[in-house]
Amino acid sequence: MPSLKALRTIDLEQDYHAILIDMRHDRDDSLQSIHYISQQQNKVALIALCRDHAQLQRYKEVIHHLDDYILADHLVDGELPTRITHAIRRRLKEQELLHEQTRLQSLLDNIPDAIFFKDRESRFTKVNKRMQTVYGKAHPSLLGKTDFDLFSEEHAQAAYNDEQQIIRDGQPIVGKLEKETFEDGHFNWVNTTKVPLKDEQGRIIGTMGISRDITELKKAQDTLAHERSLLKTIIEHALAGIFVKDLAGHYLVVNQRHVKYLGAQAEPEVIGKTLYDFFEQSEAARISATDQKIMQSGQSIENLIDYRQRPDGSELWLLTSKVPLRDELGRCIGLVGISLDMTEQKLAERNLKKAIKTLEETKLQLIEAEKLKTVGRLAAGVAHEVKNPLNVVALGAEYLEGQIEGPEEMLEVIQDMRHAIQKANHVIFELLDYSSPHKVTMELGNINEIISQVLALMRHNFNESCITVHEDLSRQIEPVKLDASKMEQVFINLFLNAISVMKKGGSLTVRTRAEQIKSAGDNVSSKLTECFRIGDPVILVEVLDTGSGLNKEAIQKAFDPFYSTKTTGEGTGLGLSVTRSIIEMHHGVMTLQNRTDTQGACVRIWLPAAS
Amino acid sequence: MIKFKKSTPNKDARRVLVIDDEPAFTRMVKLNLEGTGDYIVESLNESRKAFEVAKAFKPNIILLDVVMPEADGGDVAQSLRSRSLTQDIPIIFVSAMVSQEESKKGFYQSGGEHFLAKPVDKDTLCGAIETVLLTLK
Ligand SMILES: Nc1ncnc2c1ncn2[C@@H]1O[C@H](COP(=O)(O)OP(=O)(O)OP(=O)(O)O)[C@@H](O)[C@H]1O
Ligand SMILES: [Mg+2]
Repeated sequence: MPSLKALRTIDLEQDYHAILIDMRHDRDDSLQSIHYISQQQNKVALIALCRDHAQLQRYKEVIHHLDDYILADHLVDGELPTRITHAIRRRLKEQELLHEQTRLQSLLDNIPDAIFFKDRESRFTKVNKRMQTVYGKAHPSLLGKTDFDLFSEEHAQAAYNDEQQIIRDGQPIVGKLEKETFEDGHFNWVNTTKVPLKDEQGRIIGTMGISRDITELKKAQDTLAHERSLLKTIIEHALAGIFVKDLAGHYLVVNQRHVKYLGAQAEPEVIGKTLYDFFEQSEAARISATDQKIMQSGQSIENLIDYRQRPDGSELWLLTSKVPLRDELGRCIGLVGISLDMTEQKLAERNLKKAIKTLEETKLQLIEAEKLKTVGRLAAGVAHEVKNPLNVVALGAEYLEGQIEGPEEMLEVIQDMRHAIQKANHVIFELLDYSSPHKVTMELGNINEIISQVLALMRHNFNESCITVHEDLSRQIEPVKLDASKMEQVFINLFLNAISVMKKGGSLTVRTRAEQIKSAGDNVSSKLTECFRIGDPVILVEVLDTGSGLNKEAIQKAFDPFYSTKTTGEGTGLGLSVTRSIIEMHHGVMTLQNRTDTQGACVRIWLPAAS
Repeated sequence: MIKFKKSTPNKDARRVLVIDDEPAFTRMVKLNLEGTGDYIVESLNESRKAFEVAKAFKPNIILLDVVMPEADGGDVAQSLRSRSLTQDIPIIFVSAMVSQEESKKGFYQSGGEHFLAKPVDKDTLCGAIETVLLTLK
């Protein structure tokens, strides 16, 4: 048996399972050895061997350090090894328990969650360090306190109710999100699990719980949720189409506007679909090729103008930008796109171009018209100047004709001169009328009467050319305000034109009708809708001939002053121009077209009926 | 060889004074009117002398050009009408500055005055003179 001195030099733990101290001889260092060993707190079982009970009594004060004692007087044969084995086993158990307890305590003390035990009345019976530091600022000890001492009434009551329910039902409450409002008003968000606390017999003696402060997490979550809703609002209300696609081109996010651009009705129709569900094969392939390029190269594209046709056939112009979408590691996982509807701008641009072109043309026309005006004015001046000398020639010729009896050739010469003068006079009249300011005297008159008068006046002209005249004049026609002599001139001009294209005979029809303007575009130029409204009462006059009709150029230019297909001297080309301005003076509209029923021309005149 | 008709004025031929700045015109009017034998015509190309000539010639009627460089038709008419010797002589204005309608009619009335539109022919000329003189009787 080594002495205490020797004992100190050995590694008890390492080398021994049990130490048997022989106390039978009452050695001084026996007590010290027991103290020393027990201080070591190790797994080595400590067994004392005494002579009898009386001797054991003497070591009462250290008996609790022993794992067992053996009384030599009572030792039965073969008992010793069993006793030692038992002692070792007990010692190990004890040691384990101790460890377990230390571990548990250390867990309780170090865990950042608050852990608590409560009795059936929800009074704290044990709390861990964390709980004490967080909730125990105002209370040096939480033991015996309740939630009502720590939190606002509202929260405390809810927690109390939960705990009472657990005690009643024995059912735990797991992971409940709780807002802990303190009496001073500040609050924490915690995730709490509470379970029933049972005694050895399985009776519920209270509750225990653990709650984790997730205030920061919750804050982060809320921020995230807020950002998410903000983003959603922006996306939904943006004046652009916004979409997100994955690598395979499936739509992940799409806003209402883009849904419309795709020709769909609602978001669910689009999510998970690809371009191929909305576009023709070739079109879808073209767009998705661009998408692939963006995702592979990682290069975004900006402001690409894209033309599309909506399912209803209307145009859609989009200004699209696409950016690769990346995950946290920077890997491309899809793309984000934004499309602006440019259709209106595009159409406006196109209209503008058209307008500019029309303006260019109009400018030329204006220049042309201005030229003509000047020519007209000049012509008027010239006409007056020409009149005097012409009159001298005319009177001279007339005098000579009256004075001379022969020879015959001389008389013929004089007659030719007089004819030439008459022709010149005629041209001067026309020029003058074209350029003179139009004085109009409007009086009530019947257009039918005027037509009949002119027809009668020109009867022999028609007969000469073997033209049959059909008068189809409606009796429904009321008198209207008109300048009779100007109106006469209108029909004289029209009939002369008709005669000149029917020199070898034909038929002329003059028709009048009382009508109402039915609808726009009724086979007439837009002028009609400019002058009249739908439903306006009008008088329609039609002059139809069976002449040559008009070629393309004539249809365009017939009304232009000085446009004439007649040989010089035959016509000045002012007839229709003057005619139209007279009709416009009467607030009417006039057209000249080819007939559709047979060859020939058709003049139509609409005059406002008197209201 | 040109043969001319013979014409001498009638006994009761009317005296016509033609005032126009264009001598060719007055000559033509004179020749045409006198050719009928019914008129004796005096030409005047300087409108300033209208009164003196009228006073001396004593016309039954005056043909007066409206547009003249010296004194225009309106002025001349006014001065003639303001003097007792000439105030009763009827005047027909002759003008080139008329519209086509007026031209077509040839002779017409406007604002109480008589007008002849240039170009004018012999028949219209004679017709106008006769009409005006007839209405005076
Ligand atoms: N009824 C018609 N059929 C075929 N062409 C026509 C008819 N009326 C007019 N045109 C065409 O339109 C042109 C212009 O007609 P417009 O009456 O203005 O002049 P014009 O008859 O030639 O001369 P004028 O000044 O003597 O009338 C004619 O030269 C002719 O080519
Ligand atoms: Mg014509």
